Amino acid sequence: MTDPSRLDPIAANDWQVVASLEELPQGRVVHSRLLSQPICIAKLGEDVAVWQDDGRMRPNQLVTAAQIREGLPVILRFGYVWTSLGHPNHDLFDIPECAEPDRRQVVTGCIRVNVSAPRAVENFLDMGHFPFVHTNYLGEEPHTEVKPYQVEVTRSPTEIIATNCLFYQPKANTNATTGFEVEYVYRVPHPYCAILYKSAPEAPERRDVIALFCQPIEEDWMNAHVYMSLIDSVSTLAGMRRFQQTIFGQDRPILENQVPKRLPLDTRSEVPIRADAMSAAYRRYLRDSGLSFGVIPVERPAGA
Amino acid sequence: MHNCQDEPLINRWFPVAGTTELPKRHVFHGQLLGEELALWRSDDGTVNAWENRCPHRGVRLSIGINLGSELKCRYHGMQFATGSGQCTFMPAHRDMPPARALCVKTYSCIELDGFIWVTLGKAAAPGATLFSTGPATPLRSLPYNVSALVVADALTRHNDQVIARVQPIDAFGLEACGPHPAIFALQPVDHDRCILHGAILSAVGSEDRVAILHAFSDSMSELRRAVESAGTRLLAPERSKSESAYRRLIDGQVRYGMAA
Repeated sequence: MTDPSRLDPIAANDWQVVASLEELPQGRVVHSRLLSQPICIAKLGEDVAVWQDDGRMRPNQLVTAAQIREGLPVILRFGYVWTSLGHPNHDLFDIPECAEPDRRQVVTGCIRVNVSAPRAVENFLDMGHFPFVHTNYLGEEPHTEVKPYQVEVTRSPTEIIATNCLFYQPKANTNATTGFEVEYVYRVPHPYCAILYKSAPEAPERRDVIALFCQPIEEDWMNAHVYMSLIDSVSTLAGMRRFQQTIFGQDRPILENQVPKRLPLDTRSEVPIRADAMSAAYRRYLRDSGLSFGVIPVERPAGA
Repeated sequence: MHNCQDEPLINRWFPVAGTTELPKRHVFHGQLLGEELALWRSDDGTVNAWENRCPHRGVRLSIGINLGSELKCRYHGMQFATGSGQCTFMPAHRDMPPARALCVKTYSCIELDGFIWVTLGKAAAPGATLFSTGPATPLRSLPYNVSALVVADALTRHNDQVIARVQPIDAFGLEACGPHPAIFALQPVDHDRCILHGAILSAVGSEDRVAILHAFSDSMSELRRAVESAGTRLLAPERSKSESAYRRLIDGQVRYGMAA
């Protein structure tokens, strides 16, 4: 176990996702990891307990609340379990649209990827790869142009918002049969989480929500929890899951072939183009936050 | 990003692949002194040895697509020109000229005597290699999960009916004077791994060819079983019980692949 005093204080004092509620068995111990620390999770009735693994519990063993000595703080939101190894002084972000009663909430599953969480978030914010990685789904040649879009950073809370993101997609969702230009809005409310909004085919004035919640396991390993909140009365749950798993399955070999695995924050280490305005804002946001887990911080010149 | 700080090694030319490992439109993944390489041949025959990393977002170029005169990155479809490594096309901005900084880091490389040779430094290309002495029959290259120095040292003590009386030429080259004289050249992949390349110094007749190549292959595999059962780095002479000509030769010359 890593010495807790060496934990990244920024990441440790934030809320982090560790599981989806529907994937947790009732009353049994599930082992996982967060920020290089071993943790245990257990669903106990309507509540969930999370605690640092002290080696006393075997995986899948039956457990009751009385057996848990010191629990970590827990928030249940969007169908996921969020915890913190430290003392967060703020609430977890919200996605207000998800509370609308006619939406279908889809937990598409958890995929372990051998890359840092920030590399995965940056990939989620990227449109330029659609024609090459998600060929015939989210893009196709020669419709490769990334038009200019707007990026702004809000304060209190600090979030990145990108609007007017337009891209031609041959099969933008489970039910699409023809290609069309899709408008996205992106939102980064957390160093390891990103949300995208795209117009809902069934209700063009409203927006489907797709979110990537990254669980930082090690500096170069993460669990990708992909969550959707859709206005879709047609698709089967399995169909919606399969579509999103296909998309993420295409990203995974790209992510696992990025070198280095941690996201370099020095602007000289990788060369951005105009389409990377969002990625540049995200790297700046990480740099300003002082976060270190999963990134390569900018080296200060000697003597500075 | 060199793992290797050893100037003489950075400026040395090493074999990193056999000529036949770069067929048309293929991209070959290699590694030298800890540095990953994307090796590919353009349709005009030019061999490229590139840092295995797209300058845009770091994706390995060895999973890219060889278009004949450009290498196309898997992630954003950016194309990089043979020779210079300069980006020639950014699909996200089809009409915009790519910035000069969008250029792959390239290494000097030549194709000579059946092998692709690369240096990570600035040394001029050699006119001849260890294999330039005459007609040669290349052996199957074999990877070892120990440092190049361990394999070289073990080769000098390896004596069987195929590979015998092996003398070091330098730290990474050896000659065998057994029944079939052969030359060996080592490619240090990183501190703890290497690839042994070799060639028999004659054109082997067709009737014996398969049997002789098999015998070399078996002998090199036997050597592998022996060296991989011990440590991955070579011990310095003062810490080692056995004394060898090879250790005396490299003493104080090479640190890469030596035990700390």
